[in-house]
Parts: sequence; structure tokens; C-alpha cells
Amino acid sequence: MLSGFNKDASTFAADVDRAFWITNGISFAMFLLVVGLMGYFVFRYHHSRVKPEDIRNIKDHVGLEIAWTVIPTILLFVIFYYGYTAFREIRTLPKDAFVVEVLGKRWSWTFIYPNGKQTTELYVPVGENIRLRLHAPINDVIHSFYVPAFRVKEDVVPGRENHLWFNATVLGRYDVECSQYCGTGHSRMLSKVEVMDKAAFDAWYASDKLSPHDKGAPKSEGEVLFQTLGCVACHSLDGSIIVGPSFRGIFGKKVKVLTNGKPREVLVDETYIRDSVRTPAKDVVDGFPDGVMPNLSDQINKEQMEAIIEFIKKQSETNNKAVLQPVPKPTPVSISVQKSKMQMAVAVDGATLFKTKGCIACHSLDGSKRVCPTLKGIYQSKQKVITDGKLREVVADEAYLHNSIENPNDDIVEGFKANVMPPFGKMLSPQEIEALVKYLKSVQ
Amino acid sequence: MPSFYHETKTVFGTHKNPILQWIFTVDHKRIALLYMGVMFTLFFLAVSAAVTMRAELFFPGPQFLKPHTYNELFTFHGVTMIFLFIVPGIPAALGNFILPLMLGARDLSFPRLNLLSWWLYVIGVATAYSALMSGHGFADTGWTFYAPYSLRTDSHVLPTLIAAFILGISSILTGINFVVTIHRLRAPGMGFFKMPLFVWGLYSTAWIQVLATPVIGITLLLVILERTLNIGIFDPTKGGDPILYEHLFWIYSHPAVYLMILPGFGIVSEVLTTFTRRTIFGYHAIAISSASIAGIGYLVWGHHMLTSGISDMARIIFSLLTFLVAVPTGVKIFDWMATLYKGSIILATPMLWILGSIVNFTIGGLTGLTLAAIGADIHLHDTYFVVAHFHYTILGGVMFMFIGGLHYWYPKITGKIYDEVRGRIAFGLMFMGFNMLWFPMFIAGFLGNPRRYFDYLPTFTIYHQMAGVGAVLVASGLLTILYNFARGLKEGKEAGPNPWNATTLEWHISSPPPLENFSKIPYVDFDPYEYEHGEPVVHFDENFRRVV
Repeated sequence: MLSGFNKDASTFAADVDRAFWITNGISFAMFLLVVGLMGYFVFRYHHSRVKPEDIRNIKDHVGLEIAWTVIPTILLFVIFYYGYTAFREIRTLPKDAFVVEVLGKRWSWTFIYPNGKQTTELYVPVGENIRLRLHAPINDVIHSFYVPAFRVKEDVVPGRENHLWFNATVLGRYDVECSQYCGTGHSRMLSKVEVMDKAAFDAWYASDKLSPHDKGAPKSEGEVLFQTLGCVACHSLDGSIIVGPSFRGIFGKKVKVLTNGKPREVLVDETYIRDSVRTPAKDVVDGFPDGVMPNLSDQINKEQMEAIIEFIKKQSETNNKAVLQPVPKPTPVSISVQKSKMQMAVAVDGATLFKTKGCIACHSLDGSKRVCPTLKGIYQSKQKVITDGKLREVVADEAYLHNSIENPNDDIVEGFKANVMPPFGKMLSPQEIEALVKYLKSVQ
Repeated sequence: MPSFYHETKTVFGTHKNPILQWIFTVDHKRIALLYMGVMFTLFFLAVSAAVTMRAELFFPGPQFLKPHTYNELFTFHGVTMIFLFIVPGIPAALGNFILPLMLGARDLSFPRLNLLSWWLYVIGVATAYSALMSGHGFADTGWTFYAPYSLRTDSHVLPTLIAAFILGISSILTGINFVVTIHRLRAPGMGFFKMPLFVWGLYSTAWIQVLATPVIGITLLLVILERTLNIGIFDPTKGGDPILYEHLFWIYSHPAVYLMILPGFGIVSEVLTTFTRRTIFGYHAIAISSASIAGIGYLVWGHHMLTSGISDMARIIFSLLTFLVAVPTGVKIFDWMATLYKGSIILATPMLWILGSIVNFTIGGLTGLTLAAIGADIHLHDTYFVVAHFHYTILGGVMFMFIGGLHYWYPKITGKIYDEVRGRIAFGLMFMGFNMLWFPMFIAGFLGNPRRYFDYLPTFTIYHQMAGVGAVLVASGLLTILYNFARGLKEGKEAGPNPWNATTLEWHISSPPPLENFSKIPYVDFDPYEYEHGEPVVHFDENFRRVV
């Protein structure tokens, strides 16, 4: 049994189980009735016990027909009722909840907290309403976030936002599984929810540690990215093959790749790594499947790319020793840490959205030019834009920012291309757009 | 009288070559056998895929397959079993053979269209399997082809999609053929409520084939267009919606499960009356419940999407509607139980299969209620519980009924009788093996083992190992049936026209039947299952005039 499965680990686990067992109880009674009757009749009316003249050709009985239409219908409504009450519990999302963004992608989970913390396991305080906003990158596939111990599940669909909530009642670590088929790594798309004491959670939340179990120095940016971007799902650090080539000792090595179907040999250097992250399908290492690795270029910036390269380099320097610390075993969460005064953010956080919605891939915040205009000091700045083919000057006020997010192709800043930015009006809620605008106003 | 094995008509006139005589035949009985030949070859291929997967899953951790190969295997298993085997299934194989015989007709209304259906079916099979030999291997999408996965994977999805589209057309043509035949070619005097219940099952099925199949055809065509021409329909990066795909897919694929089961229900009614030696209980209720299952079945597709993120109100409504399908299904089961009452029950092999199918199907149906209970479903959705539920209804239900039907009509089709002892042994192996294979999966699913997992958490090992043993029993049961049927052809006793003392029209002509079945069309002014003291009431002379 999965750990904590029978502990009523969430507030509605008991309701779901009740619906399950009531349904099964009624079903079992019906099953006994049908199979019992069948067994009895087969015995009683076996041809060895029946004389031909005793056979009765009964054709119909209206009373019986009505009875076995009406009585099962009533029972079905009873089952429906219990199913419905459990469902109401599960789907009534509380307003005062701690909101965590969940990013499901092939084949890893990333959890993003209101203060920007990113983790690969979900850490939550016990007894608090936790609301998960479920996302998949728009170029990914459908996943499903499933915590059996909590009896809760919801699909993670690219291009839309789904929600689920729970209130965990028992401290412990519980399995997270992907339950919607998503390809080669589907059965490995696992994670954990760790339900922590409130104080321990607050202490970790205020710290700069990646996970509450981290000891010693914080990890390098590259290592953090290696985990949070999901590289870890396919690339091992110990030489074993998961889905893609292992990173151990790969830097500086010559590998055979297929370029447009033709084999050639290349040296794994910085350029090759950069290309492999940006256009994974260009040179696929021989013997590995094509089209598995997602194009990550819209999820990282230049500096992050450098950090990743550094990290991969390191896997070759230290030769036989894996640089990554082994995942520490769960240790009991200490309660002695002081309670922080952290505010549980309820509102949508513009800074997080800016990262998770992919804005950051094209818009810099430091004035540097990428595919799209920088957003440093954008608010109230003057912009030359092309509207319906005519050049005009506008002030980037709130209305302009709103419209640029919802309908980016209405006004194209001079010198940039149209149709690069997708219209986010359909992908974001009004609150999210509001939050983004608010965030952009603050970027000076 | 020479049987249809000795003479035939083909679409081009006459051929000397026996192969051409078969593949261009317009005789519904030969076409039925053509279907059976291809279908059961594919069936055993898909069973091998399933046994391979069970072997891989016998221990946790990777054994001898790669995850990608495993995914291709379950897609192969699903596509073959659903699109190539069980959907054409009972109608194309047994229906084709038996329907005109039961109606007192010389063939279907459109014999050449019938042959075209078979050819389209074969082309569909060839197209689907062409993916095995070319490109990046067989599709790895699962038989559901969910977008956007089916748009992103580099495996060979296109041939499989095109194949499913072609098979859809074949299915629609068969449906139209059956509907027209049932309306136009019933023997004089045979009103709708004098038709055998197998015909009612085929009739309801045919309407689903005609009305629902176009939806899946168009949907798969849209996926093809999206993959080849980059038109944004289901892909969110192009402005499409993955949930739209799920809706369109299940609008067909849910009614499709009733399309599989309804002819099976028909077989149950036939076999049950014959081996209880009495008339059916509640003929009208059974006939009408077939039709209403076909109707309500259209309105419940959303229960496949209860965790997809559709609105909560939609989920509640779909849950409620799903319970409604259970009502007519329950009525049927109770009617069958009442048919056993005060009959004279003979536990011949077909009867064993049918009784076994009722037990399995009752479990399958009742666990469907658990899944329809929406709060419980949130937990059980996409777990082994669903897989077990589905196989209890389709393998334990439909397939058991199908096998029962094959045993029942084996003497009519071949003119011989199979060995009864081997028949019972095969049933015993399958019934035990089946329950051992699938029941543990209910438990594994409830405890949180998701479906379509190449590997599982070690806590689930015991359930997978029980299933593995069950799979071996099931496979050996199937091989026993195959062996029994093959031996029966050689050494079976002559069956004669009516070895079971059954009442419907097909038992009034010789076994195997002559080319055009009935030399004279009988006048049918009697109910389909009339017995008196355990003996059929109606007899015909050689000119199909009723002997009083």
C-alpha cells in the first residue's frame, strides 16, 4: 500500500471512501442477488430435476418489470447522492488558500511558490487549505496530477488552467503520480507531497534552501535548473541511461549524432550544448529517440543557459564522482524553528506569471534586446508602434499594456516582428493580466 | 443439397480459382467467414501483445522491454482489439452469417456493399499495420489518440489514424446494410416484435454505427489535417483546444462500447432460451431496453472526462446521466434471470459461456456505478480500476458472449459438432483465468496504481503477479477453444439442421446452409421462442410451409 493511503490524509479522503464503499456495498448486494438467483435456478431447474410438462413458458409480468426498473433507479439515486456529496467537497475551492503553481511537463513536476521558490517536490503545511493551479507548457501534452492518499486528481492541460485543492491532515510524505498517459516517461513522472508542521514549513519557506532537507551550501543555479526544468527526468548524472544520454563525462567527449538522418561525429562543447537545448531535434545522439526532448529555449534566458553549461561541464571535471548530492532520506521535520511572519499570498503574483507563462523568454527586464522589446521601464514610456500599417506614437499606459497582452498584434513596436507573440487574452484570466500589468509597472 | 461451401456467386460472375471465389464472393455467409478469419488472426496477435505486457509487469522495474516499446505494445493491443476486432466484432462475423437466416432472407439487402465493407476492412487493417514496418514504429499514443500527444509524438500515428478512418467507413456501410435489411427483408408476417432478440441487438448496433461513426471519422481526419497541414484545432500553440478532442473522441467512443455489447446481449437471449427450453421472459422489455441503451448511450460521453477540467456542473450532469444507462441494462439482466425460472436448464458449453458472461458483466456493470459516482471517480479515474472495469464488460462480457455464440452457431456454420468436454475445459480455464487476471486490478486501481504504466511502485507487485498467472490461464483457455474448433472440423459428428432443439429460423434449414438459404421464404406468424413442454412448437415441411 502506498504510504499514508489509509490515514485519511486529507479532509475529504473519508468522504470519497464513504462514497466508494456505499456504492460497492449496494453493488455487492445486487451482485449477490443476481448470482444467487442464477445459482439457485440453475440447480433447481436443471433438466435432470424438471419434467417436460413442468416447464412454464411465462412470457411477462408487468409488476416485476416495474419493480426492477423502479427499485434500481432509486438505489442509483442514492449512489449518485453520495458520489455528489464527496465531489462537492473536492470541488468547492476555498477562497482563503495558499496557492502553489504546478507545472507538469514531460516528465517532471515543478512547484512554484508565491515567493518564487521552485521545487520538484511539493511542501505544504499541515491543516492549511492548499490550492494548486495546474499548468503544462503550451507545447507539452496532457498530464494528470494525482495524489492517491488525498483521493484527489485533476488533469494538467496545455493551454488552460485547472485547479484542485486539498487540506492535508496528517504529517508525512505521500506519492504524487501522473495518471494521464504522456509518453515514454509516464510511469516515472512521480513526485512527493510532504506535509510539514506549519512552523517548519514557514522556516523553510523563508530560507533560501531548495528543499527543507538540503544541508550545507545552497546549490548552484545550474543544478537548480537541472532539477526544476526537468532535465533530471531523462538525463542521469551517474552514467546510467534513463531516456536521453547521461551527463556524466559527456563534456569534451566525441559523440555520434544523426543530423537530418545522416550520421556524423561531433565534439560536445558549449556550442553543441547550446544547440541541443535550443533545437534538440537538430543533432540527435545515435541510438536515442528523436522528438522526445522539448525545445526549452522559451523557458530559459542567456544567463541560465550559461549556468546549465557550467553544470554539465562539471559532470565531466569530477570524473567518477557525481556532483549532485544524493536525495536525502526524509528526516523528521523540526518544529523548533521560529515562526516567520510570512504572508500567505492569495492573489496572483505577476512576477511568477512572468516566468511561468514564458514572457521571460522573449522580453528582458534589464534593457537588453531579445526577440521582443525589453520591458525595463516600459510603464509610461513613449513607444513608436505600427497600427494597421501606420506608424504612430503611443504612451505605454495601463490600457496599452493590457491590450498588448491580450491582442499583441494590434500595435507592433517599430523594428519588431508581428505575429511573434501569442495572444494571451484567451490563455490568461483577467486577474492574471491585471497582475502582470501591475508587475510591469513596478519594473523600472 | 450442396452447401454454400460448394457453390457461390461472386461480384464478377464465376471464378475457377477457389481463392478468388472466396475474396470476391457476395454470399453473406462466406463474407462472414472472411471477416472471422482476419479478425481472429488479429485477435491472437493482440492477445500475444497483452501477454507480453503482463510478462514485463510480472516484476517491478524494467525487465525486457523499453518503455517506448511497452507504449507501442499497449497501443497495438488497444487499436487491434477495439478498431479491428471488437467494433466490427459480433455484427460483421456472426451477424453477417446469422442475420439473413434469422429474418428468413436470402442475403443482406446489398450483398456487394457487404463485400466492399470487408475489402475496406482489410485495407484498413493493412494500413494500420503498415506502421509496423515503416517509419519510427507503431503509434505510441494509446488507442485514444489524445491530442496534443498524438500531434507531438514522432511515432507513426498517421497510418493508424487513416486506418481508423477507413475502418469507420466500413463500419458505417455494414450498419446501413443491416438497417435496410432488417426493415426490408423480414419474412412476410414477421413484425418487429416477432424478430429474434439477436436481430434487435444488431438493429440497435447498426444505428449506432451509422450515427456515431462519422464523428470519430471526422475527428481523426482533423488530427490528420492538424499533423500534416498545421491547422490549429486541438493544439493550443496554434489556438486549438485539447479538451475539444476529448469531447469529439468520446461522443463516438462511448456509444461504441454499447455497439460492442448490444449484439452480445442478443446472443445471451438466443442461447438462454434454447438451453432453458422455454420462451424468453420479458421479450418487449429486452427489445426496448436495447434500443434505449443505444439512445441514452449517446449522452454520457462526458464521464470519460470527469477529471479533465470541464465545468463542475457538466461533471455532475454526466454522472447523473451515466446512472440512467444502468437502468435498462439491469432490466435485461433481471429478465434473463427470470427466464431461468421454471425452465429445463441444460449446461451445454454455449450456456456455460453465457452464464459466465452474465456473472462477469454484472461485476463489470456494477463497478461502472462506482466509477459513475463522481466523488469516487475523481480518485479512481485513469487507474487500473477503470482498466479492470472495461475488461470485465468487454472481455468478460462481450467476448464471453461472442465465444458462446461461436459455440452455439458452430454446428450451423460448419455442419459439425465440437467436442463437449474440451469445450467445458476451455470455459473453466478462461473463467478462472479471467477473474484472476482482472479482479486484482480493481484493488490495485483503488490503491492508486495508474493505468498505462510501464513500471509500478513495488507495493503493487502482488496484484500484477496474480494478473500474470491469470493471463497464462486465459491464453491457454483460448488455445483450447481454437484446438477444439479445429479438431471438430475433422472429427466432429454431423450436426443436422437443429442439434440444440432451437426455435429461430436458422435452425430450420440444413447445416451448413445452402447458397441462398431458403428455397421458399417462410411465412412467420409466430413468436421467435415458442416451446411447448420443452419442444419447439413450429415445424416446416420442405417447402417452408408450417406443419400443424
